[in-house]
Amino acid sequence: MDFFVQLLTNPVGFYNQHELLIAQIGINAILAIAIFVTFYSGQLTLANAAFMAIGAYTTVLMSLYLPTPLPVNMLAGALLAGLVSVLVGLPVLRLRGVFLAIATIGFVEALRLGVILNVPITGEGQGLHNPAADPLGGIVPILISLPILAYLVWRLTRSRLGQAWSAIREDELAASSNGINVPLYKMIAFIISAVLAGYAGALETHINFFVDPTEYGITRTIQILTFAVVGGVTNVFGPIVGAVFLTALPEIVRQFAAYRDVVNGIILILVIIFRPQGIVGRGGLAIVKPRWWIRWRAHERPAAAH
Amino acid sequence: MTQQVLNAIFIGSIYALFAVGYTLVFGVLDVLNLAHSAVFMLGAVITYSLVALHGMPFLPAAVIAVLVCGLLGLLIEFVALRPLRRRNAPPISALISTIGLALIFVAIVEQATPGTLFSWLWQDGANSVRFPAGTVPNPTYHVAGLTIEGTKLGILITSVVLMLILGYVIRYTQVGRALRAVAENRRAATLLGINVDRIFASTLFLSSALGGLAGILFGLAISDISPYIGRDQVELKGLAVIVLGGMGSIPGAVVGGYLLGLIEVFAFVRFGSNVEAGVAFAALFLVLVLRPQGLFGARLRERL
Amino acid sequence: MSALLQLTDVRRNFGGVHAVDGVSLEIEEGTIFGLIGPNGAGKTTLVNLVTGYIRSQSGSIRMTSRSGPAELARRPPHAIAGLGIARTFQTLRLYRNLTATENVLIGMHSRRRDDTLRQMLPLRPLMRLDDRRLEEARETLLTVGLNPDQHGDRQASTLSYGDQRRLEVARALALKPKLLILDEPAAGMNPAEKDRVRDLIQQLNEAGLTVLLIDHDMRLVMGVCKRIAVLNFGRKIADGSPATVSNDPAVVTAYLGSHAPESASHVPGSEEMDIAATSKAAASTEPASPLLDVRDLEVAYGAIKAVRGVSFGVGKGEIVALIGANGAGKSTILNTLSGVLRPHAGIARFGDLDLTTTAPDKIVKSGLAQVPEGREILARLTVRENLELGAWARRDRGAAHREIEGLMKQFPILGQRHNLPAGQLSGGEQQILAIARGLVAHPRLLLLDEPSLGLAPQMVDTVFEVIQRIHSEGVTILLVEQNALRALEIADRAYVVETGRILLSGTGAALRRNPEVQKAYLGG
Repeated sequence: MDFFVQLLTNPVGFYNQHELLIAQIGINAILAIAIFVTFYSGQLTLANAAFMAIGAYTTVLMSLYLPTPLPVNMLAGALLAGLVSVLVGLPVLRLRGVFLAIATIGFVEALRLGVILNVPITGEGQGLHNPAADPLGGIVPILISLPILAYLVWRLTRSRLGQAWSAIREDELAASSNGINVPLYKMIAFIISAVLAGYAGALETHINFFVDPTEYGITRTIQILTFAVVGGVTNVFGPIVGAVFLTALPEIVRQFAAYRDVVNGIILILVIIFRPQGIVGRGGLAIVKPRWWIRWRAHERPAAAH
Repeated sequence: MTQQVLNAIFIGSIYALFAVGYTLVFGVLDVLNLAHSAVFMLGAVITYSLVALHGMPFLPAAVIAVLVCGLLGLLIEFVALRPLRRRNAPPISALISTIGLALIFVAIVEQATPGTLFSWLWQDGANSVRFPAGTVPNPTYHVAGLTIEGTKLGILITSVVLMLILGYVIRYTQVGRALRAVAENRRAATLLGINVDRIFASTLFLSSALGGLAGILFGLAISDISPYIGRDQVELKGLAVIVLGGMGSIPGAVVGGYLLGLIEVFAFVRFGSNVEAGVAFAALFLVLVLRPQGLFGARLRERL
Repeated sequence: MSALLQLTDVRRNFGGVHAVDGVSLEIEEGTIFGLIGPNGAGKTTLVNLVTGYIRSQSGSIRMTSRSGPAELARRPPHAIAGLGIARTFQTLRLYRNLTATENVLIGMHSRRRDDTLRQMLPLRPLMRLDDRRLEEARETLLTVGLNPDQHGDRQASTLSYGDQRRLEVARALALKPKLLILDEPAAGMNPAEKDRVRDLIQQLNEAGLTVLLIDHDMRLVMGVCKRIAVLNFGRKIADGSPATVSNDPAVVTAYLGSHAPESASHVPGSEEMDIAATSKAAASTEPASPLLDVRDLEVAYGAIKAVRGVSFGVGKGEIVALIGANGAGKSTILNTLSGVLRPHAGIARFGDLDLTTTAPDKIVKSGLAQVPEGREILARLTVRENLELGAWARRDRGAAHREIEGLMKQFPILGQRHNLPAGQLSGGEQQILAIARGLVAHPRLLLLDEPSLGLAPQMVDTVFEVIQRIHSEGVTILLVEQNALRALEIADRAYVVETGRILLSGTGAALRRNPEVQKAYLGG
């Protein structure tokens, strides 16, 4: 309770005391936006932790070995994540539903275990030390980019591209018949999501002195999924709300901080059963309709439809 | 080299046992039960708890643990799966709710230290322990130049026997046929008078019992019991196995389990331990991209 | 007039089944072209080939427009849409959670230039562009008979069934297509609604749109189409004007089977059925204390009112048939009796058992078994295993075992293949397996849903022999059939079901002689 009291009565003091928390909330919100983009197009991709890692490592490695300025490094990280997403997406995006989820999880772990922990330059299991980190100043780009990115993605969902994504999410086959190039648009969503995740990864390294490979595994990616599910994926603000709520929760409810995951798990189950559209959502969870769901539904159709 | 192959077979047995439970639920309920790896972990944890904290001999402890895991399967069905089916939720929701349960199970064990709520179950928090020495007799056999540990042999025999029993039940009993019927065509099964809900509950019980047992065997074989063994050691490997073998196919899970064991061991021998871990995922990736239905799975076709 | 769409020797098979077996046809620009044929004839497969959802294995599909000819054969669906071919789907594929207006707006996708980047900044000129699109969406909705103010902002899934079908057409029209393909646009509609669909199609055609219409309702198809092609087992068996096609003996046989009476002169249902006349016809002779008693049953399927107040009875030892066109609600009735669907009004009693509240597995245990439409056998289990599962509801395993052996002798086809996966049997063999499996349960009442569906004529003969045989052994049967002729030949009593209601009832013989029934269902 004193958390809220302080927030309302002494905002500046609140800010100073909780800077790191606010920065983390900001980063999680950007990650939530990243997964929102793919969700909005009907794809359950869980590769964001991997793209974060690419963004993070690229930024730090460039800072360590190249004379380029920080913004360039961060941009390079985000773009490299986007590039890799094309390579990964080409074979993987024609999978649907659970298979896509598994493939993307596989990619996350393959990257972490296969590449990061094996390539000496990444510092392998020890991680990397980031001398250019600036925990206090680092919050500024987060606070500036978050609203801009949220706005851009929001406008995107209302554009022709966004409409196409909605159509794909609702019914891929019908979308094709309306002239929508489904594979292309799915790829675009995946790339944008990867770039955002890479950017968030780069930002995160800027507030930590240390790049830790265990941060970029399945646990992280599931955490991001939780933001989206709890917040709702009908519009871009849902996952942001989810991120804010779930990141701040352990702070607000200090006593249960140790059992944070238990609480997260319970919230997740309750939300998915009783309010699948999430906190902000508009009724009906329409994330993905995988093949066997469609086939099973078709079985339910009345005799009228044959 | 043959020693390595032997190791591959032992670890492959555990993978196979774990994957069979996974694929059973997927085949019958069309759901990927991501809480399965947490049950795997709890099988080991409960057995350890009964043996190390409460002084029970190994065999009864293991039996109790397996039964408890079966009951956890029922919990998964009634808490995470049935409410969603009643609401006609898409299968992705089931994925997410089982993730939620997994989070809860792991966190409970992770936070259990002396003096906390669950210290009767576990006292080592996030640390890794092993069964106390002498829990299980472990003679070493030397045959034809190979070293075979008794424990590992026991694991192999147990796994094989169980898989044979399961195979028999599924192929030759009425209940097994009903299970296959529900897996193949829920509607036809209903019209035959099969109570589909009851079959689902039974499947979850069986699957989780197997998963828990796999965890116990793992704890014995690898001497590693921690809250994270499900997530770090088998969750993705289990996925790799069932994708490799074909989702929903039990023979596929068995073959896939041993195959993965072999691939891992060869990768270890050839490239060292770091690559070994990534191998499973590389295999998973390749299979999904080249042949998503795996070795024995059926092609999925959509009706327009 | 030139040909807009030209198919030449198009072929597609699926693992040995020739779904489309060398079909050639030509659709003239500005006409309405009909495609008909029995279930499973390959109509929807052909449409999927034309629109790119399935790849043809040989042959060409050429579209000729002002910009020249274009080969459609190996293009993806969105490219074909881009060339000006729009379609609706047999199973209705709306964007269910989006509003009606949004559905139509998405239909405009390929005509709309990509302004995504400019959309990122909310400028005034873009607002006007949006308004123009909204205006066009409004007009399209009005064209199909929807009210944009009333329906525009409602989620598509909340609209009535008829309105949903209309919305799908609107979405297809938003493409401003050169060719509109309608796949069963009137499925599940009552006669008044079907008339409105007919009017809409004619109206669109008068405005210059070329239409390809697929439907089971003969009256609709013959009424609006200038030319019709008939498919059967993947081949085109007739092609010509409605009058030619409806009187073509090959076509009549395809719809009625080898038992077609000499008097059958045209395809059943191609002329208007006088509903008033039929309603006054033969009185029914309902059984005194029926084994199955159904009263005022009403079953809805989401937005569709599939069964609207149906009452009938089945006495012990009878064969009762429910006949009627596709989509009349017959299968819905059977599924309600089996407990798979629940009615929202009405009674269904089986002896003492209230079928509307009992769980499906208990219904089977009480002696009511169903042989479902499409057979629904368990393809990966062997023939023997399928039969053994038929005994699931029984307690006396030993006796069941002996009966299975007996059945396999009685039906040698099953005995020979008893260890093969059931999926390898032919359609007719599977049907016999399904019936035998139903028998193993020792039902007091056996429900048969469309046993002749998709079967070649000789197999239909065999199946109906089997049905008669088991009836003579004392099984009570409720039979649902599209093949009215066969059904009426073996039924003691029958009911005519149309759009969810019972129009007529009587003895099998009486209905067979009824002139209106003959016109509508028996090709006479």
